[in-house]
Amino acid sequence: MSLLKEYGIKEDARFKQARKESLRIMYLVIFEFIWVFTFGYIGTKTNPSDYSYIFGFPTWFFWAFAGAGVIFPVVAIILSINIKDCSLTDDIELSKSDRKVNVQNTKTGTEHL
Amino acid sequence: MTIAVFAIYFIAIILLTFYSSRKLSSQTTDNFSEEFFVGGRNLGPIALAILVAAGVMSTGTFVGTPGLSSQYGPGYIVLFAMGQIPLTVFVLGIFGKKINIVGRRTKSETYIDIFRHRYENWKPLIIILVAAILLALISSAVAEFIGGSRVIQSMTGIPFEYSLIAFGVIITLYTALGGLKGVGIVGVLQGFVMTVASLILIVGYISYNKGISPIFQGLKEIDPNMLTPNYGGTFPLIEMATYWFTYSILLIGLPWGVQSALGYNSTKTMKRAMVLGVVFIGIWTIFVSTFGGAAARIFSPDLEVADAAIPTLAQGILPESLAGLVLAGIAAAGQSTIAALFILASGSIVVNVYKAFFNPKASNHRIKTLSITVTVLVGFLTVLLALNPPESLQVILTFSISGAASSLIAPLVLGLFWPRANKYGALAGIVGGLLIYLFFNQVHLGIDLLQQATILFAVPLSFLLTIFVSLLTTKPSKETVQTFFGEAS
Repeated sequence: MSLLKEYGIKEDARFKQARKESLRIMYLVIFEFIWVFTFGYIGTKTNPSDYSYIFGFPTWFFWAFAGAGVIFPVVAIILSINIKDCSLTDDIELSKSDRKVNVQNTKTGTEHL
Repeated sequence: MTIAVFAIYFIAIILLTFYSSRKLSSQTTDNFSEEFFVGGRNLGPIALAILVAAGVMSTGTFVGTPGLSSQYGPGYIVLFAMGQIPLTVFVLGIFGKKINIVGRRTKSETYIDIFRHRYENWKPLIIILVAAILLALISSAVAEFIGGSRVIQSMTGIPFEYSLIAFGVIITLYTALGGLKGVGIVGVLQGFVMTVASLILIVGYISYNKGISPIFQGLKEIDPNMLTPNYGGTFPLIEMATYWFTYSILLIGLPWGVQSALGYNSTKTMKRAMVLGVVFIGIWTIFVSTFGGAAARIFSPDLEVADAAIPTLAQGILPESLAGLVLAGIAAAGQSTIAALFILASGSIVVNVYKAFFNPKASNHRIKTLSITVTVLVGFLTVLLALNPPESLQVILTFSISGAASSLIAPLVLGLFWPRANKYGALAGIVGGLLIYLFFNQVHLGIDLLQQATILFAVPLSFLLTIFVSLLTTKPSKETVQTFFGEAS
């Protein structure tokens, strides 16, 4: 981000927030991979005829599936719901001093949007 | 009976086509290409979820992957493809907001437009992008057509050529008349049919096998290796990791996610689409790809053609009318992808070649005629290629999709998150990523690891190339950085 400083550009607050949200999802991707492949690895270490079972599923499969099919999708949904709402257009995105004026403008302006 | 259900589905698509084309022509917009290629930036949550998911709602999910499950067991699919379930969260959560805001700022209408504005309209880059993307899009559309029509032939006896031409015409029509929004509207129907088909199928095989877990006992008797994650060690885990990355996170770099991210109307819509997408893709991937294929193997232990898994299962355990619905689901899966590919291909040609290079001041009417004509031509070309597939099709397909995935993601992600990335870095990342991918794939250096996990090397190297070349060359201009990172000016 040093280039922003050099050019004297202030980062849009919405982009900053979006960056945080992206990072959370990248962590999700990494954790999910570690989870699934840990149990996958365990699954390769035992001979299939010696597998133990949970509810009729081979143990490694049960846990890998619980991760990839249930836990991580649910976490992904929670992350999605927690994303901050923001305006997608630039015209409402004004500095605080302008905002008062803008509120008056949008009151009359929303009709024809 | 199967054919009757299929005919109903066909008619429903035609009706929706009329509906969406009237909707498009009733728009009194002065910017036709925005209306056509990004749905007027006014897509709703279901259409957005379906369009972002278009890459996975393909015949792969309904035919290819269940086929693998019937051969190598459901454990293989957990490692192979279940990473794709949160795909809509990956795509929209990682850059949905940013693409949409910047897209509105720059008036971007296509995937390539984002690159064009970020990398300062540099022609060599645009030309390479257009070529690479058209090759990838058209060859995957051809493959989808062939796969889907073969399944229809095996289930109904309708000859391959007939169903191919019939669906080619209908998909071309609804794409050309409805634009991205039309594709989204028909896509909602297709997603619905696929979801209902998945639910029917799982109820069918659960009542047939008396539960899901008896499937594992059955597989143990047929072949104990099918209980393992990698078919008893046939596939090294590192190779499985490559598939996992390719089908989950790398898909975000491909065009359909970005294109749809340009088109939604509010962050609320985006969030709803993310959640809906997880539910949809979850149902298809778990019930059809993972367990459906395995259930088919239990039903028919000496299943010969892997791709016939789901059709065989549906026709074996379901009443005829419901089997017809499952067939419609398989067809819908392929068609939705093809339609999305047509829009992307036609957008690249009209917006990024014609408008950008030949006629920047083209009138709205001109763009309208051209968009529709080019979409029809793309459809025509694809059907022709599918009827006489070139021998190298499979090779082109594998290379174009994996090659595109491994080379486009670095310039896209770095361009959006790293201000210092510049056009030279982007070109180096794309060309370098592609060459590294091809090289490791073709040239044996005596290291198995490189062959099994080409993408796991090509992608990080493409990132490094983009970074190094950017740092060694000039900075991007202040205007570009302001547009992609700064506050509204």
